[in-house]
This record gives sequence, structure tokens and C-alpha cells, in this order.
Amino acid sequence: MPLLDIQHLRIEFVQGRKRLVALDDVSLAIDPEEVLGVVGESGAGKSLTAMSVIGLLNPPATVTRGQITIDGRRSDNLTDRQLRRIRGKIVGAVFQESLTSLNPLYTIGRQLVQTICVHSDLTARAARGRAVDLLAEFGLSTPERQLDAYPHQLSGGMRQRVVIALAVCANPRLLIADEPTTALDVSTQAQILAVLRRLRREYRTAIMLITHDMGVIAEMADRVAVMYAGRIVEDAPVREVVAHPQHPYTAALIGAIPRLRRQVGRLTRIDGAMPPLSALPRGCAFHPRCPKAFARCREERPPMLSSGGGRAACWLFDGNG
Amino acid sequence: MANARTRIAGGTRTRFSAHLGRRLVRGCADQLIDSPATVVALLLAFGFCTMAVFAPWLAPHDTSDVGTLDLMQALRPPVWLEGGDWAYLLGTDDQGRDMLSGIIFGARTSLLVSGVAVLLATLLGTAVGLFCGWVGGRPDAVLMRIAEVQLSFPAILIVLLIDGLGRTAVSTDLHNVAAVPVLIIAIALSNWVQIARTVRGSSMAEKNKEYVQAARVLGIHPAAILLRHILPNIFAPVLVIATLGIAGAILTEATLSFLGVGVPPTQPSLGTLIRFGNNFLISGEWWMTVFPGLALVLLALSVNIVGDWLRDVLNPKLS
Amino acid sequence: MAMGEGECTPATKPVNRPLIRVRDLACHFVASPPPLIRLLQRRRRSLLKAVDGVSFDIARGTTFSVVGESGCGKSTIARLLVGLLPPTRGRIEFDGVDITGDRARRNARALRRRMQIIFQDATASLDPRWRVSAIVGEPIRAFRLADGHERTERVSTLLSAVGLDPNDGNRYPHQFSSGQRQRVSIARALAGNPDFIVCDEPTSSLDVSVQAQILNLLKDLQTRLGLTYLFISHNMAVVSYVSDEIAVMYLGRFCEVAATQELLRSPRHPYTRMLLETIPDIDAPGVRRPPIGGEAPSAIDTPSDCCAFHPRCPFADDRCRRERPALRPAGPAQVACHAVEENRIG
Repeated sequence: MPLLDIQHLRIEFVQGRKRLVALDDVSLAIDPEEVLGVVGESGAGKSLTAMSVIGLLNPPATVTRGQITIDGRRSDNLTDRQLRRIRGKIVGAVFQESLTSLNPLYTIGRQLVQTICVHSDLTARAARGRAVDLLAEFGLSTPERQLDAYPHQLSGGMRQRVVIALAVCANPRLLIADEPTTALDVSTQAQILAVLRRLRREYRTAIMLITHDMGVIAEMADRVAVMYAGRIVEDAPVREVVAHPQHPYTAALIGAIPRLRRQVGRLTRIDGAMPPLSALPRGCAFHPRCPKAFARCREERPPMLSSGGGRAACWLFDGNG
Repeated sequence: MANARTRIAGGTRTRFSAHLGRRLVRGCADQLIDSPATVVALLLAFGFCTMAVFAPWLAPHDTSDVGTLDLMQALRPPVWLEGGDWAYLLGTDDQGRDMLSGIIFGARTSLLVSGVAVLLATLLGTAVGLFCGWVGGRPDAVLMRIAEVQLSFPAILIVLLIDGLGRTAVSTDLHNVAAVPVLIIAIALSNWVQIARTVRGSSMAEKNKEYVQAARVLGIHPAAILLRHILPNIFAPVLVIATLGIAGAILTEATLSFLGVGVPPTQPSLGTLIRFGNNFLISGEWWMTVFPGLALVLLALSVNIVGDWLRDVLNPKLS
Repeated sequence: MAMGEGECTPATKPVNRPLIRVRDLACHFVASPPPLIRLLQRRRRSLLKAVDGVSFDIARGTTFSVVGESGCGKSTIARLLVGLLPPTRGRIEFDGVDITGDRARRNARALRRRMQIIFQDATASLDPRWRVSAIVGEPIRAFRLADGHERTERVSTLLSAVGLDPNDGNRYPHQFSSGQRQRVSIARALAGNPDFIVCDEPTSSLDVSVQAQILNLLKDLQTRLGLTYLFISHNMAVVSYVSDEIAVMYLGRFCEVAATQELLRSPRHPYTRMLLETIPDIDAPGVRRPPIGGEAPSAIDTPSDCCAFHPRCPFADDRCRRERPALRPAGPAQVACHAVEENRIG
């Protein structure tokens, strides 16, 4: 049984009299100990999916269809109180902005101890010990000293590790990491990725890794879900996606990435940009930019069809079973 | 094509004002639905301005012409009271001057003094603010310290100082001629600092944006960058402060005139009218002070509300 | 090269002369509070050495890239070259003419037209209150290149050249997507017919597919117009796609300069190796990369008597802690490393 199961999720924004469909028919599953990469360009709906899993959708956005099951229990119809119990214990989350994820007025030690105490029966003293252990495990050189520091006194990479420590201190079974390394330098990014890898290896945490960086996905994930304009267009094992992308969008996306070890004369060109939610075209949302589009793509929206080693939402794969 | 050409040739100013105009129109429409108080204030402010501009034609009597004065008509109550006269809607003062005409001419003086004063303050404040924001460093530090010293003296103190010096130095005639300009300068002096500080802060923020740097790389003259790029982008808050400043300036003018150091007694202003009426308040001729006072309150209040409205309309984060 | 030669307009320019020649360029900022407060707090004067002595040439029609992590000083180099910052020391020659120093300022004005810059944040680099046609037309007006109808024509041509519709000129920047805005700033940079364009992280805030569009556009324009680029980026893969030569920068200095293929095939400096090894790569899925320990130190008060990289370097020895390495030829590359010089690295 998957740890996280999202079925036909639809999220709408109400804007004045208009209703914008931000996410439509999104189905995802993450098995225990699995790392799922969610990749897509900004505005594709990656973060929205993550937010709905931890129940942090803000009012104009509402789930209008579908259901989310975490660890065998429905989570989309829970009260705030019940949701709080899930957050931290079963699902932890890390966001891109490490500075705003921490309260600037308290030392990181205080924030860590407080969070650990909430989720366990430990005394403050024991919680502090656990905080030190966590930070040491994540590669902070002098954890005791860092506990007394305020968030702004730490570097971005150190802060992000503190944020991860906060998210995993109650041993959640699933960690949602939304662009955890985007604001960081390459060398710091490597440190954060090492921490995530360790989480998975030693704590058996499943990770939903959201990023726009295909390289990070390739290195970390078992499986990838590619999103475009609020839908999942391809869902396949990472090696398949990188080597034989099925959906034309995925193929173009991979072709558009400058490679270090495979120099190309020209990057693949996808003209135009992802359409805004208010102007989604009929049929497949990608068809105006798609080099392989045909009549049916302009009329009907393709469902997820199996293709290659995974599934892709493209009419090209209709009928090949 | 031709359309595009005129747009380019039209330069920044027209485009900028067109943009501002659109925002204002949209703001008006929104406000009409949302807040009737703002509409009333806008109408009132507009009415006062019209009254001030067309005072010689609107006022039933010319209060400055001593020849038309009739002492027989002195201390007449408003028209709806016993002894009232249709020729003097709001009554007359102890010299037989029509109160309504006095208020119309008084509002003219008040608006003129405060308007010119705030205009001067805006020009000075914007110039100093832009200069300090752009140049930075020592000149900025020196000018801002001067501004802070200036800020610690209220307008009344400055006027009293200049007025006091003036009285001892020049003759009464000359003093009366110079009274209004002195008043304007004093009020302007007390208002420019706030504008300068706002402009300086915003222009420092704009200066570091890439579009200004791109213009610098193009070798555009700093003055042109300031006027064409930075000024239009920071003008909205200046407009708001200036409008709110007018409301304050009207009150300052009235206060100073009330104290007798403002406009000369021969020239009616709302402040002088209230001052003269004040002497008759106890003896029962309340209209001499209440009507100018009411006019003052309405004028200041409406300008203030217009200022607040401008702030909301011009704030891109709200619209 | 004699100074006198630079004074005249280079009508008889030798073709093999580099367009840009930078020698010992440095830019220091005072990072300490004003003297009085410093005295009260008993602190010493501290300097932020954003750029501390870099030299390079850029040949005509080629792309020279500076790559490095945040705070290494790469953007400062960009700003120094286009004259947005005055250098503390060193000299910049553009087409044989010195454009640094007070005496050269007058010369520099005429040369400004020939060098332009593209910034990372296209939104901030376009005046929000100007129409796109006015933004692109500004350099044409500033350099008095054309007037009236001719200017309109030129703006339309420029907009088409960067892949926009000439009718887009009537719109305001906020009505465009971020990729289109970056195209507008490229059009503005091209408006003065420059020879040299500094690209300061031009695609860092863009999505991958849009980044590919912009990178391809920059490459096409280079071929068509014979442009010379200084390309600044933190993304090694992007840099490798566009450049002919790459300089790797660490704390204000170059640690390695080499031709792109050479640098990728055989990185020499330990920092370059580390950078290349730690970049997640889609061609090597599931590879576990050893993270590098330590944090990049700040550029404030960096000691000048040791290698800045030695605290994080696995090959550091006593000499690295005592003596700052200079950029020296090592094979076809130039490397600033004692260990490379002494052949201590396998």
C-alpha cells in the first residue's frame, strides 16, 4: 500500500466571478521509502500539490474533487486539529526559503527543542540533546554552539539543515521538500542532498522532492512526475525519463537543459511559454507548443496512458497498450 | 505605425500622466461604489477650489471695496434668523461686511497660501531628496542633518521669527505687502523636509534597480535619469504627502492668521475671520466665528480625505 | 601596448587584438562602520575585496565566462567592465583604449555605446512606467542614432530580431512573461549597435525551456552580429554551453582559466574539480557525490598571504597556508594552485 496516495485531485481558485482550475486530475502515489521527484516549470502546480498534501492550502484555493490518502487515512477532509497531528508525525515539510521558515526572534535551539517537545515526551534537556544529535548528524560542525545562534547568524546551507532537522525531528514517514536547494550554491546544495539521502537510508523516510532542476531529480529520485499547466504529463522511473522521455514536453524539457558531459550544438527549442491558468487551451494543454500535435490533441484532453516504462498523458500512446 | 511614433515622440511626461490618469479614473469608479464619504469630500474639495478661483464673480459682495460697506448693515444675523436679510445670507460682521463673501474670499486666500506653500515645499523637497538620494555620501549627510534641524522647528515658530524680524526692520506698509509671501515661505519651509525624506528614501531604492543601472550604462545624463526614470516611479507618494500637506498648511495659515501674524487684516482669510468673530462670540454674534470655522473644518477635512484616497488609489499593491 | 595608440580612434585596428583586455583589476569596498563608530567599538577597518586582481583578455566574437558561487565577485566584474563601479586598481582596455582612470573618462564616453549589459532580473531592469518601444528606443535616442520614423523602424527591427512582435512595443513590461521581458532587455542592449555585451546571469531566474530560448537567442545574435560576450553565471552547465573560454572564480580571484572543452575534460584546480564533481547531472542518475566540507568563507578581510581555498582543499599543505598562488600556465590552461604547480595532484 502506498504511503501517500493522491487520486484525481482538482484544486480551484475563485477569483472574483472566475474559477481558475489550478490543478486537475492529479494522481500520484509514493511508496514507503521511495523518493518521488516532482518536476516542472514555475506555475505548473508542483508546490500546490505539496501544499494540499500537508493541508496548507490557503482560502482562495480549494480542493474541489479527488482525495488524498496518507498512511491509509483520508487527509483532505480532516479538521485543523487532526491535520496538526499528521503534520510532523507523519508528514514533514521543508521549503525553499530557509530564512522565513525560521522565527527570527528565537535561537534555533529554542525552536528545535520546542518542536521536539511537542512531538515527544522528552524533557527539555533530553530534547536539547536530541537536537544536538540531529544537527551533528546533518553535518553541522559545532552543533552545541549553533543551537544558541539566531537564524540570521547562520549561512543559507546551515539554515536549510536546521529547517530539515525541524521537519524530521518527529521521524515523519514522508518528507515534502519543496525546492530545498534552489537558493543555494552548488557546494551547499551537495550537502543538503547528502542530508536527504541520509534521511532515506537511515530513517527510511519517503521523500517528495519538488524541484525544477532535472539534475537534482536524476541524482535523488526513484521515480519522476513531470507536471505541466496543472496536470501530470508523465510519471515514470527516473532512468526511463532521462534516457527515453515519452511525453513530447518531457523530451523537450530534457533537450533544453544544458549538459556538462554531453555538449550539444543547440538546445532543443520549445517556443512560447506555459499558458496561464486563465487561458488554458482546449484539448491537451501542451498542444500549441508541441511539435507532434495532431487533430485529436486540439480537441480532447489525453488521459494517462502507459508508455515505455511508465505512463504519459499523450495521445501518441493511445492504443499501444 | 503612426500611432507608435507619436507615442515615442510624446515623451515620458504624457505617458506618465496618462498612466496616472487611468489609475485615478479607475480609483474614482471604485470609490463611488465603496465609500460615499470620499465622494462627498471630493465634491467639497472641488467646490472649494472652484469657489476660490471664481471668488470675484461668485461672492455677492466685494468685501475689499471699502466704498460699498454700509455700517447700517453691521452685525446682521443669518437670513433665517430674525433681522436677517436675503442680501446677506450668512449675516454680516461689525463693519457691515457680508460673511459669505468673506468666507469665499477667505477660502481663496487660504487655498492660495497653502497651495503655493506646498508647491514650493514639493519642488524644494523633491529636488533635495532626489539630489541626496542620487549623490549619497557626505552631501547627503549634511543636507539631511539640516533637514532634521529644520524639522524640529514648527511652522508657527518660523513665522513668528520672520514676522518679528520683519516688524522691527520694515515699515507697516511694506510689512503688509510682504506678509503673504512670508507666510508662504514659512509654511513651505516647514513642509519640505518630509517630502525630501520620502523622495530620498524612494530614490535610493530605485537607484539600485537594474533599470536605472541600464540607463547609466547607456550614458544617459544623471539629470535625465532622475527626471525620466526615477521621478515618475516615486511620484505617487509625493503627491499623497503634498495633498495631505495642503490640509495641514490650511490649518497652519488659519492658526497664524488667528494669532495675528498671518495675512494682514485688510485681506480676509478664514483665520482672520475667526479671529475677528471671536471677539463677538460672547456678545451673541456667533455667526461671525462659527461660519468661517465650519468652512475651515470642511476644507481641511475634505482635502485630507482626498489625500487619503489618493494614497489608496496610487498604491499599486492595493489596486 | 603604448598608451598613445589608444587615444586615436582605432581605424587601423589589428584584427587579432583582443577586444577586451583587463589587467590586475580590483574592486574593494569598505565593510566597516564610519571612523567614529569604529573608534568607539574598537574595531579595525575592514575591506571587502570583491574583486582582487584579475586579468583576462576577450577575443573578438568570442564568449568569455566567469563562473563561481554567490559572493565570489563575478557580478562585480560585470559592473566594473561597463563602468557602473569604479575600480580600486587595475586597468580595462576596450579595443585598445584604456577606459579606466580619470584621464580616460572622456574617451570612455564615446566607447560606452559599444558596450552594454543584460541583467539577471529582467523585471527590475525595465522601467515599469515606460512602454517597451520607449525602452528599446532609449539608447537610439541617447546616442542620437536615429529620429522619428527611422527610430520607430529600428525599434521594430530590434523587437523582431529578439523574437518579439513589433506591435508588442505598445505594451508595458508587466504585460510580458519573464522570458519576453529578458528579450526586451536584450533588444535594448542591442539598440546601440554594441560590439560587446556583458550578460550578468541572464537566465538564472528563468525556467529551463525559456532559458534554452534565451541562450539560443544569445548564440544566434553572436553569430549574426559578431558580438563579444562576457558571460557571468553560477551554472557550470549553462556556461559550458555558451562559452569559448571559462574562468572559475573563488573569493575575488580566478583560480583557473581555460578553454571550455579543456576545462570540462581535465579540470586542474581542486576547486574546479570540486565544482564539476558536485553538480547533479542528468546523465548520471543515482550517482552519489561526496559533499565538500566547510562553508565558503566571506570575502571580508580575506588574508592575502595564503590560498583562499586552502581551508576546504584536500591537497592543502604548508605552502598553501603561507603563500598566495598566482595564475600560472599549466598545460593549455592557467591555474592558480601550488599543488598543481608542484604536481602533487594525481
